[in-house]
Amino acid sequence: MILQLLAALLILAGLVFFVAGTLGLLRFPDVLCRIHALTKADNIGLGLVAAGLALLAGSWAVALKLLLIWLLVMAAGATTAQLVAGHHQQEKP
Amino acid sequence: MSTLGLALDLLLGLALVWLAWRTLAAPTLFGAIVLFIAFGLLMALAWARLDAPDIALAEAAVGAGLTGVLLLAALADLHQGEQLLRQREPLRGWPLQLILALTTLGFFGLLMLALLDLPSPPPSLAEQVFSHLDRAGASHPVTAVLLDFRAWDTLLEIAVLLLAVIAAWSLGQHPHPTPRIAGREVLQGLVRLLIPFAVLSAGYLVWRGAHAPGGAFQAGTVLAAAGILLLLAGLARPFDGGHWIWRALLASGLFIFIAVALGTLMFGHGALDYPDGLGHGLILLIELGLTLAIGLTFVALYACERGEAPTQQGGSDG
Repeated sequence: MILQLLAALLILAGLVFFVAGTLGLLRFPDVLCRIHALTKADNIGLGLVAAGLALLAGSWAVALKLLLIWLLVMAAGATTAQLVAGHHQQEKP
Repeated sequence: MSTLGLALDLLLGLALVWLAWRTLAAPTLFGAIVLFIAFGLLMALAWARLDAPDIALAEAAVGAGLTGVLLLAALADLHQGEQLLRQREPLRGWPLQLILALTTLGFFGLLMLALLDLPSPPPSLAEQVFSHLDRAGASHPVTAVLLDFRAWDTLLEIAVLLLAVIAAWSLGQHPHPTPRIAGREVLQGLVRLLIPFAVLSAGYLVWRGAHAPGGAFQAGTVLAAAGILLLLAGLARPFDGGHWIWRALLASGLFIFIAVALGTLMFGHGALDYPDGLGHGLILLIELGLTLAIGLTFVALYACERGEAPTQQGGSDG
């Protein structure tokens, strides 16, 4: 019961980060600000959601898979952010 | 819980229709492609909600990922790309719009009528599949259908893929510019990190396909994604399509399939009717061959999209 409550709290906290990141993506003025909002929120948000799901998973194998997914998405997200930012710098006059 | 599920399904369905409309109405081709990729990802989610994980995997990998990459590559290769990026001509004239609207609405109405007229329970071959599953070479029903009961269909699909490469290579004969990417080193770092994972998960997907969702198409697409990432990061050159070894590898999936079909025709009960006990091994053999061939096929389509001349004799590595 406590485990489920904790998991729900973690997932909800993660969702808050996702909403904040989405708001930033929609409202922030330029590319670099948007990347900042999006990647930061995604990394922490997904981490919290994955942690919550891992608590509910009930098996170490699934929990480790969720951890791996989080790490891979962070690596991909960070790289994509670099690429988009690099492209943005290149396009600037 | 079911109310929540219903709400999610409704949201998903509405989002799909909305995305489809936005894709068609997008002012630039680039925007349309990005929306199409998003549509594919949501479509994969919808398949997952319909308890069809095999189709969900294929939709996410092929429908959203690979098709998206091919479309983006094609857009970059369009000669009038710049002009097309700026504006798309909307459909002009109300008679044409009226005819299109009426046709679409009529078709929609017919589909709705057909839906109301469905027999209950709906016609299904699921029972037949499950009752014969113990005699198939794979315990996962989807794999059993694809590579045992209806293996002939899959053989023809692989033949179509090979034909697609031949057709694409016959069309594309222009020089190949290496993509200019700011921050290439970061991408190279990520690709070096991801390649082992990609190979591992491709192997896992093939092996798992025998008893759970997965299989050659999904695994081949993962391999293809790894290959395309290598090309994009500048860590590998497009392979030389003129060399016999690449051509042999591209055709290997179909050849292995045909060899098994001929073998079972000559020594067994009939083409692709696997003898008892050998089914699992033969299906695994075919799937391994298909994985490699499908992966190479997709990379070949992409490398061709990038304009690699197939008959050119030059440096080659995967």
